[in-house]
Amino acid sequence: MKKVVAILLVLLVGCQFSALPKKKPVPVELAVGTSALEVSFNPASMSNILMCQEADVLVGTRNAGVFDVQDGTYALIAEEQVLTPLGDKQRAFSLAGRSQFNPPGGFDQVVFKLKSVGLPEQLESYSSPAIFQACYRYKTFAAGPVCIDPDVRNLNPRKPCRTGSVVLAGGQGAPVAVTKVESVMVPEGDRVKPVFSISVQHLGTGSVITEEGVAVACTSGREAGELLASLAKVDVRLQNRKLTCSPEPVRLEAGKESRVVCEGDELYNIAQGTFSSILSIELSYGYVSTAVLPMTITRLPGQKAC
Amino acid sequence: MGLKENVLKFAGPGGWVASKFLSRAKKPEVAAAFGALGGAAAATAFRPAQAPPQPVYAASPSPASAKRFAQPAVIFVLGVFAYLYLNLQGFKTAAQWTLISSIACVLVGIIFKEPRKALLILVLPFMIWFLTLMNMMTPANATLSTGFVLLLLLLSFDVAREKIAKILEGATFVLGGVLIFWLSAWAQMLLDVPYPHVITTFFMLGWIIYVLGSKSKLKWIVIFTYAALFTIFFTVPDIFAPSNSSLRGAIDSQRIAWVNMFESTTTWGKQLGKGLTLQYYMGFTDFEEGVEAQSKEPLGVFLEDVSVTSREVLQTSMVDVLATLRTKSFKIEQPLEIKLKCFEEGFEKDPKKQGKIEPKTSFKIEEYQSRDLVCKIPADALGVGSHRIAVEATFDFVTTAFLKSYFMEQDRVQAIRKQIGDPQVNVLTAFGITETKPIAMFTGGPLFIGMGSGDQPISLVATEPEFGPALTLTLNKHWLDGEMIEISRIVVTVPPGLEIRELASCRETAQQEQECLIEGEALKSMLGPERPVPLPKNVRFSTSIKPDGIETILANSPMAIRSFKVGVTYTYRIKKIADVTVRGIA
Repeated sequence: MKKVVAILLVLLVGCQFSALPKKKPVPVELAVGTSALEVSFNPASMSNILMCQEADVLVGTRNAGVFDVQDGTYALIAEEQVLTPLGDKQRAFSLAGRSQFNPPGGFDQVVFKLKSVGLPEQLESYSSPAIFQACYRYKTFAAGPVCIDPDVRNLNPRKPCRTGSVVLAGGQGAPVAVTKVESVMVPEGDRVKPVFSISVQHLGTGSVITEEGVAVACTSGREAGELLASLAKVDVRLQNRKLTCSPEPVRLEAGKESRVVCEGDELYNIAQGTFSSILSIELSYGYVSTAVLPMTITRLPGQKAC
Repeated sequence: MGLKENVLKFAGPGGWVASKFLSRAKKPEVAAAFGALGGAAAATAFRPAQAPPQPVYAASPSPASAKRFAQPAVIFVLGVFAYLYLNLQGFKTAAQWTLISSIACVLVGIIFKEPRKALLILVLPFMIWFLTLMNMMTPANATLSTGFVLLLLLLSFDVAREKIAKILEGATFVLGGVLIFWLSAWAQMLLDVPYPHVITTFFMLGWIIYVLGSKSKLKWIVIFTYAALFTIFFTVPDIFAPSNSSLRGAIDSQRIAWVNMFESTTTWGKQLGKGLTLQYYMGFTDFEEGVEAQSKEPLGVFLEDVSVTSREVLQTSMVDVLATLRTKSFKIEQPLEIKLKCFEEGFEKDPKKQGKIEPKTSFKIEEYQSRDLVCKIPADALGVGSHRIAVEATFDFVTTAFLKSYFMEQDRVQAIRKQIGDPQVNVLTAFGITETKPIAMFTGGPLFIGMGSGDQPISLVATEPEFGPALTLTLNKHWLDGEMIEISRIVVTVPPGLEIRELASCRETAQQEQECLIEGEALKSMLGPERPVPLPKNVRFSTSIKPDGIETILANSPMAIRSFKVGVTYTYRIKKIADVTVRGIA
């Protein structure tokens, strides 16, 4: 009997300390998507208010991209003859992007207060929009293997890689995406110069502006014309050497791919062989995200003025 | 054309009965069966054509004197008996006409030595009896009946037959048209539904087309007589149709139906005209659009339930027109001053045709109230016949309007336009705004206010402050009825940062808006001196940007939403009509 109890105890202890089946960690694809800040009015916002009443307008923002926003500006636009903002209309903000420590991205909720200051005489109700804007700097990072092939005459049939185009689908976790990289070896004497044609496109829902334009996009800053142009700075590096790109900055047109051609100073000869390397691309730009809330102000029967 | 053919032109059952009667009367044995004086007379008059013609005034083959006087004597005796009998039965008019006809028959028979032909006169009491039966015994109808009998009498003389036949041909045409109208309108009046009156209208038009299409040389005379007769019917119906007769009922119901049809057509016409005019003005002029602001209640003053106590009044009595003045929402703090007036339509300036409004002609009234009114006009002042009595209410009213506009700096507009890339897409879409062409909204009431401030967003150029947006107003009638008597004041409010330099009487509001008042001579020079004010009218105001105006307008925002406001004070007049008929005293 003692033996049986001892065996059972051994078995129980053995079960307790046996190795549990290990769960494989799910790889989080962070650097995908074409969003930056996602802004939306919270349904709890008071969109239907009475004349002379104050209204809380709640806006939720989430950084759905992978870049951390620093020194951005929130702004609220309303028809001030009817809805006067109480407090600041503009506010600074920072919001972390998606990361392995914060996969959904940073979330923020902003509250603006508006006060109805009366309606034109004889009017029972009036509708006017409240427009929320977030203006901030953002960056797109893309990296991919490219083939440096000085053997343009294909003397070596057993090359480790071949030049061509690489398609990058799905975005890089930012509204401006690198969609394609084509590499071409341009012969210069008995050496070659790698030239890369990089296609970029604005795939987000907001507006692209220059990095400097962020300071004026959400305010009434004068001479904002050039600053609000859809231009993105391009920084392309190969083997940690910066390439010269043209055009720089690149202009992004709505619904169209823009192309940047980059080339380095380094020349490669056939003796160096064919090899793969990583091309890293960084696009810097300003971005404006917008949301609209239709607001309705209603006059109470017999209500004259505030 | 023979008499029978003429008679056959009677349309409808009346014509049919007449033709049947006459065709039977041609047979002596049937005529004899009549047994009555009228039947005998008809049988005599319409004896077969093969009877030898008898010269008028020529001496007939001399019958015996006794025989010549026997028939008139019998007629006279029968006439006296009939007179006494009818008198005893209470048919006094018929009795009198029977006696008169008998005496006339006897005299004509003796004087013209044609006692048999004179029997035709005896048809007259039957016609008078018929008129009495139909409550249509008027002097005009009695005269017409007597004339008709005389024509029949004359027709029996060969020398006059051809001309009389012509007259009767025309008369049958006219009478046929009257019968068609009478029977159709009367029947439809009894149905008491509005649409069948259209059928009468078509019958009458069909009759006119038939007459015009006929080969008769008299057709134009017939049409003229027809038109004249119906003019009398509808203006002084008492002449032929006393108020309790079926013909009068038919006339009145048809007239009301026509008036309603006319008013409906006029309303449709006005609506169509308004729509077309709007399209024209919007297409070819600076006409600005506007939509009426939603409101739970209509705004304004309304005259409702305008009616007369009796559609027919005696000449000695008073015409009472009842009306209810009802106010709906004003949305303004002051009560409205109402002025009332009533008069015969078309005689507004004639002091005799003015009515007296009770309880009073002028008073103040608040929102959601009503006042019952009576307009009294002496029927004598109007005169016998049909009249249209107008009740007018004049009141001051205010209509306000506003236009939302979007302002941006020109540099920014151009930059965003480049960002978007498509020139067809409005810059405002970058801000999530879908209403890129805001339309002015005006409060309800008699006045339409359209407003325009140019393409959106309005570009602000700091270096050219004199180029502010131009504000265009369109003032038009919103109600189909009524007229704009006067526009007394316009208040224009422009957003903060803008000013209207051309106007002198402006002030700054608590919200830094500029509010400008236009009235008096300044307004008159803008809208013209005409009263009532002909509409639509376009008014344009040029605005300028104040020093530091761009900062004020934008208020440190990339884009600003601001409104232009307008308030118009005016005097408007509405009018409603009631129909009444004044009857003369018999």
